[in-house]
Amino acid sequence: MNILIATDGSEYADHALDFMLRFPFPRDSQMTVLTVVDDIPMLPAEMDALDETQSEALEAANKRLRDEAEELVQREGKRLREDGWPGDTMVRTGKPIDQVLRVAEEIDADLIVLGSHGMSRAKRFLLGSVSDRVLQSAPCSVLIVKKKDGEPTPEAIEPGTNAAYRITLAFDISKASHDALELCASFPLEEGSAIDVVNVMPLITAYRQDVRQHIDSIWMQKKVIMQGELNKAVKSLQWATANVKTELREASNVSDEILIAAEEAGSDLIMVGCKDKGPIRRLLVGSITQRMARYAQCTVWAVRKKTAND
Amino acid sequence: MNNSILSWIGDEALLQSLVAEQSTLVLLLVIAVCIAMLSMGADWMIDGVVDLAERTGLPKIVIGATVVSLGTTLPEAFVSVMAAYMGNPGLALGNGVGSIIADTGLIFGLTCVLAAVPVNRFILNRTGWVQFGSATMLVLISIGVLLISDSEPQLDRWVGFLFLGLLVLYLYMTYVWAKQGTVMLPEEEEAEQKELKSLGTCWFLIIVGLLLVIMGARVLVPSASEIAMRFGVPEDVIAATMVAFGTSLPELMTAIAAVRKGHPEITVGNIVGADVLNVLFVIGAAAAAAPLVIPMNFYYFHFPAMLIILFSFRVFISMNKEGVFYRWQGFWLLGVYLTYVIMQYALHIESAH
Repeated sequence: MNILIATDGSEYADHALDFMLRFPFPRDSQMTVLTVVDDIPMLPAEMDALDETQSEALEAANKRLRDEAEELVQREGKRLREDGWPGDTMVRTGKPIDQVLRVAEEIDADLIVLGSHGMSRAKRFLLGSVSDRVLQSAPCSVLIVKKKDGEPTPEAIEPGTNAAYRITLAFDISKASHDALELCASFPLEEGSAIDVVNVMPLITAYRQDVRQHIDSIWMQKKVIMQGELNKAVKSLQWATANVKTELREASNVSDEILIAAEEAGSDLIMVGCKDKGPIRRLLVGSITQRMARYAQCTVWAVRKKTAND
Repeated sequence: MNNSILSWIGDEALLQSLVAEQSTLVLLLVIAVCIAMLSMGADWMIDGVVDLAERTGLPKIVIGATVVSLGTTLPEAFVSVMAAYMGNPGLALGNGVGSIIADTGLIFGLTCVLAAVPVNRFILNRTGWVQFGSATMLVLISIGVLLISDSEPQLDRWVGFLFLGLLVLYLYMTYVWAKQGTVMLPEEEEAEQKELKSLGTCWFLIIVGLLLVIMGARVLVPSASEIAMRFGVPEDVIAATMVAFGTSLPELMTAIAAVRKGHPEITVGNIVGADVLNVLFVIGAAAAAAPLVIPMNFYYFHFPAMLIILFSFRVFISMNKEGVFYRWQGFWLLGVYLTYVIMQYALHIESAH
């Protein structure tokens, strides 16, 4: 697995690196640490208006930024190497989101890792976030590591070992979901880990059509089929950990219900397949993955399998 | 001041004069607001009644077969009854027939274009035939009164009460069919009990919802009638197009939600059920409130359009061996609906000149 870890030196980026050191990634994975320096923004006209002293001061400031960036990636690279992960470090200049996506393409990354601040719903709705935009445009999976305010630092573990994780896997019968299932099944999870495979069947609560859904024969058939698929998923996951259980829920808001399920289970990680839709469909239908990535209190792994053409 | 604001609720003449004073743009806005009130009121009422019914221990099957089915046709029913009561029979009948055409042509057609709608033979071989049969019965009775009547043909009160009687029978049969068609066990139903709204909240939703529906219908009827006059088209044309579309908003919103959530199958039962209720409940209640004169337009236009759409629907059901409605069938239904709407205005605007 080729992993790109984007860092900005914040506590959230540090938390993301802690996650990387504790999670059981395949041991042959390549990790690349990237930070992006956004030069002090000035218009060409403003640059031309500077005198020699001012130009030198600007150049010195930009150099300081690049040196700090280099120090950051070297520090983080060292932490990875101490844990047994070989990998590169990179410093790029430009707009952070553009550079992250560009480097992901260049190194053919399978996963982009970002730290994210757990904002309030209102703030997220109004401001969006870097992780939102990367998730939308990335050519590969995106892991958004969240740190809640006041969350204690996790217990230290031996270098080269991993922690146990409780994972909520959001599952339906789509190809994207099966990709997420396949990935989850490939992790050599530590003893004590657990996986909850959750499916949420959407209810139509407008004019209380949910009551009619419950007495509709096709709805009943779909529930039976879905439970069958969940049972098959359990069989795929049992080599990763013996602690696998399934949950078939019903709710009007699918993404919220999955988040509730994850919170009730005390999950550390939610995994969900990305169903990439065109812009019109996205406008009409929205994206469950994006809503979950935006509002989850815990870390979210949005699985997007690269096709042969990528 | 308070008296004059509230007095239009009871004083029809005052309401009519208030409406006549408004500009066309304001009237169209008022119509849009009334339609929103009808939709929202119906939603709140159903929500309150469903939770109230669940509190009494009434099984979901009964609630689904009766309350929820009737709930989405409340806007049509209130508008048509109000129109009949206020002496606008064209509006009352046009709304009922136009809603059938909008539900099957526009809403079901659109759903088939957007998603693969399964052919639920259990529903279509039962309620589906009641849908076709009740619409045909309406047309046959209307033709019958045209042939035997010396004066203007009208649906008398006895027809209204006949339809309402058949409605009770239909609701009972819906319950029986729902019981046959579902495999929900009592234990499952218990397990699915979610937190119900408090009694106070239920009653609040029901009362406020009812007020919204009544007020919405009360103001919509004279506004639509005034618009018809200003556009130079008969009331039944406005009723069968603008008003019918507006009162079918609950069915439209439900269909869109069903497509968005990947479960378009619920639309079949909704639309077929709504069509039956538009005849038995909407037109039945309106005719029972006051005899409905049938404008000649219905014999040349509305009834044939309704029968074409329903007949097409039955043909598609028998054709679809693979078990889904095809996209082209959706386009056909939409096409018939759009032709029907456009032609009405084209013909009447021409004849007005």
